Amino acid sequence: MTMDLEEIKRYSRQLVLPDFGSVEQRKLKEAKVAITGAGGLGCPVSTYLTLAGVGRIDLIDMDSVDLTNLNRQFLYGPKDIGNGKARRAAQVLRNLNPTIEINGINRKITYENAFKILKGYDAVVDGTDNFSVRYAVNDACMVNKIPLFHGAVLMYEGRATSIIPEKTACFRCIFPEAPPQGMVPTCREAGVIGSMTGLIGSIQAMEAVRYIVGHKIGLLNRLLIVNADTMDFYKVKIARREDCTACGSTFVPKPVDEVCEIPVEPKVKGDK
Amino acid sequence: MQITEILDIRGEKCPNTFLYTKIKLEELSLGDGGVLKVILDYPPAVENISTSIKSEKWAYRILDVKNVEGNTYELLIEAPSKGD
Repeated sequence: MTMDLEEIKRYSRQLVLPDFGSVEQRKLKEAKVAITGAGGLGCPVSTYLTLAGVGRIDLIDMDSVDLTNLNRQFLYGPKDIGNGKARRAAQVLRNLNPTIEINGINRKITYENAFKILKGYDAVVDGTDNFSVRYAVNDACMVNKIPLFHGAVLMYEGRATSIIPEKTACFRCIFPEAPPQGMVPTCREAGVIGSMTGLIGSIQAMEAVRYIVGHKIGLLNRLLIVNADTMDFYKVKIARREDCTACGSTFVPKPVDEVCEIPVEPKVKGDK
Repeated sequence: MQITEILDIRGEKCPNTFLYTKIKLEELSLGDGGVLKVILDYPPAVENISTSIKSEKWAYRILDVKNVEGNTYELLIEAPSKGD
């Protein structure tokens, strides 16, 4: 149970919190967390889990850094353009906290492989930006009984909820089907700003940390909706659906097609 | 009175004074409990530690506060065993 002096100092400002101590720090150190996506949400989520001292973090993303990412994805800079996000992010995070294990996994999550990839984790934090992967992550977490911390941002609206399989409403309980193509603006049309992804990602990280250490968490069976136009925070009650195909009594695989297809950017002069 | 362990944190200031005391008290509580003697020479920490440990999850109890000389204080704090 003993922590060395460096650990005590590194985590001192959280260790002095009234409901947080060496026991809670130990739980974080022993936790194994996967983060799906190393983008707008993945950056704040992975950063705060790293700083808090989660013992093992697997960051999964197959994208490469693009110039258009740099308004919000603060783990990358211009020199990283063209390089894989997951590995670069892991590198930066290791520098922030060399005492934990961080793996950057350059892999695309699909409905077919999600059930295998997202296995054996104490928690999954979802930072994906499209419905296809979001449903895959949700279904895999429900089948593998892994708590899932969901977050999403579109324009000035953000959402977050925390899901404990078989206990609370899952993403599919709220949205059984993905919206039809054309109903949702593509990420590029809609736009997104860094402070918004930072806000939602921080909320996801806070929920995950509190869950791991055994504290009460506020977003179970609640969908938090943040509107930055007015700075209103709403918590909407949500409930499990008995007939949910992901977390109900009978699991039915239901892959979702990509709704948000972003056309490939033409190469801009100066881009790598 | 039986003192289980002594924590000498002379030279430390807040919040480290509370931090080290808290970690040590937790260690005791995770075991069989006991009485911790804290030696410190930063007077504001006496009040801070006494106040802060009240909001901790295990019921720590200040048994004695003694100004031994100058700025040096000794605190006796009882840590209950987790099972108690």
